Amino acid sequence: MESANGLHLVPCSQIARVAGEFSGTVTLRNGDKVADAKTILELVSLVASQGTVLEVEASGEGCDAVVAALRDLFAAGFPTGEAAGSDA
Amino acid sequence: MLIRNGIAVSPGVVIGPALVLGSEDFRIPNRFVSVGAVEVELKRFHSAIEAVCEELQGNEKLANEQLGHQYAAIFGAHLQMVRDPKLLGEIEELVRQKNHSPEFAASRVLRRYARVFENLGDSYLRERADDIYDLEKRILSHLLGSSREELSQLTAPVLVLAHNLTPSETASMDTRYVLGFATEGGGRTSHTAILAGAIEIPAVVGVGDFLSDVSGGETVIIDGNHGAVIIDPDEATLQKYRVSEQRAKSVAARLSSLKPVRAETKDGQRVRVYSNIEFPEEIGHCTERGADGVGLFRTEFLYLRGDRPPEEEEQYEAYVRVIKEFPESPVIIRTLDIGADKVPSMLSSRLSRDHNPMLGLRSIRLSLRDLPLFKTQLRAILRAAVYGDVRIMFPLVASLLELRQARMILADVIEDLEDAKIPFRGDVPVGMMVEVPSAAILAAEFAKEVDFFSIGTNDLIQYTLACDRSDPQVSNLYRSGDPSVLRLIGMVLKAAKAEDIKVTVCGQMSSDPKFVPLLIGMGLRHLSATPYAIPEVKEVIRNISISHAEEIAAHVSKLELARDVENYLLGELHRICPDLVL
Repeated sequence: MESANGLHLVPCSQIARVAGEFSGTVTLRNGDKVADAKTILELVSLVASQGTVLEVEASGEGCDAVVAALRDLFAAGFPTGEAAGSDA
Repeated sequence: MLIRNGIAVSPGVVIGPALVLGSEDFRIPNRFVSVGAVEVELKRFHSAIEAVCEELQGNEKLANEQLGHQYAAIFGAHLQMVRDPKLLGEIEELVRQKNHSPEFAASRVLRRYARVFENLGDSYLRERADDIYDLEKRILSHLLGSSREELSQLTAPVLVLAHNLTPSETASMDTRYVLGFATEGGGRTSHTAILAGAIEIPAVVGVGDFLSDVSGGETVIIDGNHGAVIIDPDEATLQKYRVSEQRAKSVAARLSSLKPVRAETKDGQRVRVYSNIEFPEEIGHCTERGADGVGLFRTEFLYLRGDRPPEEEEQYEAYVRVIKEFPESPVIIRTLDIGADKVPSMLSSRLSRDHNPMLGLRSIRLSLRDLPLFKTQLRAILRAAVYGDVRIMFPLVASLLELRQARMILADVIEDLEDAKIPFRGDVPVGMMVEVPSAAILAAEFAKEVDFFSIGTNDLIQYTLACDRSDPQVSNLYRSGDPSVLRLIGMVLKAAKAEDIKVTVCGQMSSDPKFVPLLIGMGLRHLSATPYAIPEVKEVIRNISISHAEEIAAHVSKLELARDVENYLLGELHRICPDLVL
């Protein structure tokens, strides 16, 4: 997690949006806390601040794609607006 | 079964399923729904969520265009929260498993998340709890708002239970589906209460907190005769009310056949039965029941509709509409009689709030203080008067000086209309309400200066007995049958007779069948009643002779207590028309 504010509301909403399009299950783990990546409220509860290492786990059809999409999102620093691409 | 008592403001008894409306401050009206209503409630919940999503998408788009995408992203995040499958699932489960109302369930679940956020230990995330409260508010406003919208989209009969109803909500009720209503707030003279009588559905107001005890869809009885609301009645109570509901219906059916019948006593004395109306829309109720004219056309509705005084044209049209329905009969138009309990926003700044409003700047006092307002109304009345037998009446006159001032202003208006060559009628009879004890005491003097009196018993009783009938602590002291009140009425009738001017009684008293024989016995020949009471009043008149009525009046004059007067009159009514005694 490299963004300055950590996993705050807007990044969480973006993760949930990406995960929501995926039919299988996808979770994010911060230490012993696990969140269903489709639910923004659980993601926020992970309290992942800058520097936290998060583990992604996905299963089901297209699980590789969703993990890749999430990796891109983290790498791009959760851009909003036009830079968000698929988000439109 | 739970019985709650309030103030009966519109008579009749109805039994039916409850529709509970919340208040604007998002107080949750009911925490539970009946098992059978779960699916319907969930559907309502999902439409509210849809509406919230649309609203947020709109905001997101707007923010994107005008503020920048980083702001739009906040609404995007809110949108994601509303669609959060876990959140929705938890709310649905509470509705399904625990029969929580969607409002209650949504509020519980969201507040739990807000608390989780508050305890996250991250100051940024802690503040996100506010986002959740904001979301709660949005969802509740759609849920509660949607039930208010339901009022205009009903397809099945319901009894409306609400914290409060605005006059416009009351006026727009579809009486095919709204069978009756009960509110936590409101008094007998609140505008909503008057409107209930006007739209003629049983109503009880001022019940106090009771919405949390009732769920949507539950069976409720509203007893508008006795001011009771019965929630989830037991079988015996239901049975009792079904019988009285049935009996009231059959009596009403028989009475409605009296429409073409003239109100005449057994010995042939004609008595005019006029109608009190609040809105032009009510005119149909009057003609249906064979009213002899309009004895009191209240004009306050014009002033309560907006935040500015009504234009002359708007008033003129409202008056013409009523007059054209009664081209041959009297239509008595009362000038603005805004009381402290009916203060519309536009006038509130002119009315003193700190002092006793019933004794303050209201009614004719307000008109005399605000000449443009008063003159506009008088012009509209005089112009409309060309279409029929219009009479002007001034309310709350307490001194001869006030009457003379009002008449002088009327003369000014007539002069203005003449100068402007605008068609109008200048020979309109001018009368006054007798509702302040001073006017009754000086009735002989007033009778020389007016063309007619109309006794407003509601205020006359209130001022004579120094009792505010909307105050539950003292409302038992408010008695129409009090000998002091009856003596004042007698004085007015005597003074009018001496000057040969007409007198009408237009308060609640003349809508109460037991007082009709007494009033006729005291010499009254013109009554003005609420439209629904007209058939009953006619029935009483047709079953009594003048000599019998005079005997009743003579007996009453010897009684000393309101209680004795009212009991005696009820007994007499029972002998005259047994099935009118409730």
